[in-house]
Amino acid sequence: MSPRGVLPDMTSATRAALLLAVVAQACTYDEHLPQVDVKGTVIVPRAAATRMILDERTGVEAEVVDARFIGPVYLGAYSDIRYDIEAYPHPATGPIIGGELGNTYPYGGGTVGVFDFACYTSTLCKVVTGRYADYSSLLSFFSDTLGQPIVDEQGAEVQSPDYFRTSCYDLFEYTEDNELLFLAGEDGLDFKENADGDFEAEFTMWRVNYHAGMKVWGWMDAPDSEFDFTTCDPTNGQQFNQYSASFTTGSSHIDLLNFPSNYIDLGDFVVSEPFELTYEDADAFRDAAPTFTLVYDFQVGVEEEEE
Amino acid sequence: MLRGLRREKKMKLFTMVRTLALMGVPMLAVSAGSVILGSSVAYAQTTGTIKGEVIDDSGIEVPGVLMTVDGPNLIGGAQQEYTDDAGRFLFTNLPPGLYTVTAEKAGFGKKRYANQQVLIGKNTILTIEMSVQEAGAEMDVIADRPAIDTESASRTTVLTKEFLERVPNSRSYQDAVGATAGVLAGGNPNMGGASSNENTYMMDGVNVTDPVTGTFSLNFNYDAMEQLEVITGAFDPEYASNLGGIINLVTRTGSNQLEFDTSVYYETAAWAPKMDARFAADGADLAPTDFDSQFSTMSFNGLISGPVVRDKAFLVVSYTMERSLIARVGIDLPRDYEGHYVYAKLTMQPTAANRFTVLSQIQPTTVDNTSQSNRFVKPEAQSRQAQGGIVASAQWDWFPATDVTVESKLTVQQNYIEAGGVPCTHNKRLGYNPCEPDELENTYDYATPGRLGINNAYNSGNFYYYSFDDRTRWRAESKVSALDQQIPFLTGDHDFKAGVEVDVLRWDRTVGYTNNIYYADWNRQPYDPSSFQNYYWVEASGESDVVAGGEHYGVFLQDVYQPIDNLTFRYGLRWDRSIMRNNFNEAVVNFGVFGPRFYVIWDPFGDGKTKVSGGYGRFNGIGNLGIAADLNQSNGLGTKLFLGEPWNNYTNSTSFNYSLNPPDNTNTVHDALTAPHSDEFSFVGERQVIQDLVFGLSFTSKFTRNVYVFDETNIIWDEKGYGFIGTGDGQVENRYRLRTPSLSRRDYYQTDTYIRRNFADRWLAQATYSYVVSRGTVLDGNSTALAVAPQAEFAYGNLDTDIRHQVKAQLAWDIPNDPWTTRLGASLEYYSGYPITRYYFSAGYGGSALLREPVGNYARLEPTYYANLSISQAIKVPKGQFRVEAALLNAINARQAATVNGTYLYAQNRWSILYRQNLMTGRIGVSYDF
Repeated sequence: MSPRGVLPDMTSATRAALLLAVVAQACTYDEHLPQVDVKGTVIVPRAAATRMILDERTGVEAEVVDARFIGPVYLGAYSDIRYDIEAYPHPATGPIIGGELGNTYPYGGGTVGVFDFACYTSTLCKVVTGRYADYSSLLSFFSDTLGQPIVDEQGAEVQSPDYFRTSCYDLFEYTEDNELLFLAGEDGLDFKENADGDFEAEFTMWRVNYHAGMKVWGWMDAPDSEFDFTTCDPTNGQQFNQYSASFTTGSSHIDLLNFPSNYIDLGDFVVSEPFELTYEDADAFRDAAPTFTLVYDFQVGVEEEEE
Repeated sequence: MLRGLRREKKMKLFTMVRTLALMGVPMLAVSAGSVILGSSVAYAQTTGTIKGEVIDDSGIEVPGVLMTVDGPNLIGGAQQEYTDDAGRFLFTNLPPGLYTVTAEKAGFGKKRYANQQVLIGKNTILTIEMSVQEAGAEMDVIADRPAIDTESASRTTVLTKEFLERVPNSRSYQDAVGATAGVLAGGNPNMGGASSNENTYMMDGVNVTDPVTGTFSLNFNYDAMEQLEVITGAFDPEYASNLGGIINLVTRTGSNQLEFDTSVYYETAAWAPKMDARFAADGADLAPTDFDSQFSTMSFNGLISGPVVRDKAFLVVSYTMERSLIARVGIDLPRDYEGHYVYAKLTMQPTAANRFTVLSQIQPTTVDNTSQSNRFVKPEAQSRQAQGGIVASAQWDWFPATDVTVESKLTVQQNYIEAGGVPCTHNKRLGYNPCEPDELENTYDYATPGRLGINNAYNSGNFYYYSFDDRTRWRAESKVSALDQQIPFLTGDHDFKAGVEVDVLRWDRTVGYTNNIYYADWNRQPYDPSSFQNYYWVEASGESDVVAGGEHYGVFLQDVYQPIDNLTFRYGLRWDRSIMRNNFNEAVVNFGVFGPRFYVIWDPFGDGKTKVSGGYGRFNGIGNLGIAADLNQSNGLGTKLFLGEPWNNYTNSTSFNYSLNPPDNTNTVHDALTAPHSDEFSFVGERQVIQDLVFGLSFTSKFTRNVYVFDETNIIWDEKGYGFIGTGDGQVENRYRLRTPSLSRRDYYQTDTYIRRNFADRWLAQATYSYVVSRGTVLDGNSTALAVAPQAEFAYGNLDTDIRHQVKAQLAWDIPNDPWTTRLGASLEYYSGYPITRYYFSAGYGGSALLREPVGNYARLEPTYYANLSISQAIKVPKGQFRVEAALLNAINARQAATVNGTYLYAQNRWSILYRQNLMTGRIGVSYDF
């Protein structure tokens, strides 16, 4: 055929370069976000999992070590940690106006364990996720270890795991055990005893606004003698109004990291040596992908007494 | 040189025409323009092509055969040309419809091929055999109707006028496209595993996609459609960039005949059996429901078309009035929709080298009683909406040479949605404008602040919210096509196309509260008015007026290369530059991106009856204004929140101040976004097993990455995302960032087995079985809701489009009862269970909004299925024909849940069902046309 409508041809090299450019732009994507996910390990001392328990049958009080005593562990990333604000290490705060506490303005944070929904009012603000392997473990802990049997809305002790499960399913419209987060399974328990006899767990702080020099700090809310926690807000959470029950299921206070001194009280364990992140920027942090360990070694009140 | 050869042909053609006339052979209505091989080059979106070759008894190509193409839709009259040295012919730029192709040459018999279907963007390929043994004879060849385009790789289904007229559906193009494999029909269909806002909608080649949401923006007279092209993948670069599919609606063109078509349809569910709804996702059926949902629609349609100047200018004018009354269960007043769609198109071809098309559509619409989600909405608390817009386009097609076309087009599209409780606020220029007493409609109370009932609480008072929403697109585009080109030292032909397009977009939205206050009430005990109490109330000041804008530039270059007759390479490259700004003039979306495509199509037997094709394409999502505006910073509207009894009248300090937003945008906007894109690999095998009947098998895998998602960075969440434990700046406020992470992805696999019998000999049929796997982390490409769980990793699982088994079948049969015709039509759609994503309570969001487990893995709904039946009877009258139609829609119907809301769990251990199978309805219609 005769040539017509001649158009310039593209050389093979040009085609290859074009293809490479297209492939390259598809494979080199990086968002360069100013937020990073910070990961590491928390260690709480053995004392945080130790409690003196009175055996009502023998009348003897004995020391019991059990990871189920460990309360929710909080972590935050702050501009600085100061030692002159409270009697324990505390994040630096913003201006104090009108006598109100200064806000710490955290860059990010996270927890190890959360207050899970209460299936009965008697478990409101008492159940922390990642601490129980199954229903029996939970029931026996409250009944046998704490001596505070779980009771239903009629005041009857809940002894049957199946009954407990039925109540939870009914209340939350759940259909499977894995929907109840306090059931971690043996392999899913977050705190495990280490060689030193302390307890450690992995953590992730999602989407922390990265600032060079920021410090990661936190505390563990230790339960009081009634196994209550100061960081739980019983009026927060899911609202139920049915049958004879009318209650909210409880959740964390919403400003724990902004005003920690409002919630840290005697017996809580605080990080005394915060970890400083010195990478130049978020990209450098991502490249290094560091992990580190935070030790919750300062027990509020106890340390002061020792001094 | 071919250009020289064509000029020579032109001279021969004039000679031949004159000779035929002198011989007294009936002349075709050929204008000089069409004789000048008036072929212009086809636009991929609105016209089709007839091409092929002529051979003799021994298979030798026959040059110099006079080919004539004629059809009622062809402006400029019949087109003629001679076959070239290789016996080939090519007619382009043919409006879709039926054509007659005639081949004649001295010494051979004359062959006439009637009813050759030209489809949008497709090649109708003919191989014509001529014999010297038949010299002097004239023969109508009715057997050869090509059913496969052996040069196309796109997964395209063209629903012809014959199909649209005969196969029953709800008489909307959105519903009609559901007949296509890989399409989940709905108001905004999901196509090829993409979200419903990732498609492109075109009307006569004009992009009419909503510039803000990426959804449809146009309603249309169903009877005015000539063909409906549905492309679900593997399309050429000249089409728009998107991650979904393309719905291209091509209207009638008009002809030299004056045509008139009018019809009235009425559809109702009043007589339908009252069935209890069923739902058993978790093994527990819904309690029987009082099935009193109301459904009725009525439409009036009119169309007139004909010549303004014979052979030179055709005009089509269409009008539809549509009224529907649809109420959901328990709602006192039905949603009252009334739309008027007026469409006009003028096509002019004053000279052979120039064609002009001007078209416009307006569609003023009002919708009353739009609050249909809460079954306890009182009539006086209902709201109203006005919507509509205008699309206007002017196109110039210039044919500077026989094989070159330059297409230029200007388009303006403006849509508006104005919603509120006060009917007199529909005029944007007036802003919020309470009605005068004599202007009151219904029972709106303008003096009382609005009350909104929640949790099944009593509702009273007027709707508290109004918005004025204007969306505009200005578009300029130009495209050059050069067909049948050859490159030195390289055998074969090339069809080159190159084009450029520019869009300028704008979204202007005003939001406010009527009377600047509203109450939210609730029932502490569901359905128990005695537990009624005030939940909270909000005082507002001012109104918010935000403007988002953007630009898009697109450039493409593509080639269809045929080195030999039965092998085709389609390849090309598209580049898109997209900038979408929020109301702070921040370029939220800002990138340039390439989309290469490469496909191979092989006709292994060279007989035009088999096609094997496959290839790769990258498709980019260039974004829309809705994505940018999700990072708007509201200004001008302040709110003050007061909490009621359920909160123990607790109010935190910020609630006593108007929440006028800060002057700076605190959302995260950054310049390192990448364009969401799909890498698609496709394979198609088709065989025309007998005349008009095609069997096919296709496989598509589509990997979509970097889909837009929003997450927030200010609130600090606990480990599980159940509650938050702090805020970054002390404000309990979500601050969003827009991301396109690689983890935000979709993996889609679709295998189709199909059989298609084109309409001929009074019947058509097609059936498709699709096996679909659609998994990923996010389906929605544009949402103000968090696409991922708070402060958690992306969860990978079954997406909403993971409906594993999909069966679609359509059948139509015309029974000739001379002089009348009875038409029978049937359609069936079957979908296996829809996957449910369950959400959990999150104290931070104050409700059930937490996705904790892999998406779509909780349970599946039961299958849904629809069957439609229709019968119509034509009655000839002296000047045209009447037709009476009766249809039964959704005839097989168990009212299964079609979609559930995984976010809400109501108190009685039941899911909230968003949609069930459509109601069974009956429709009657009367039409008259001549």
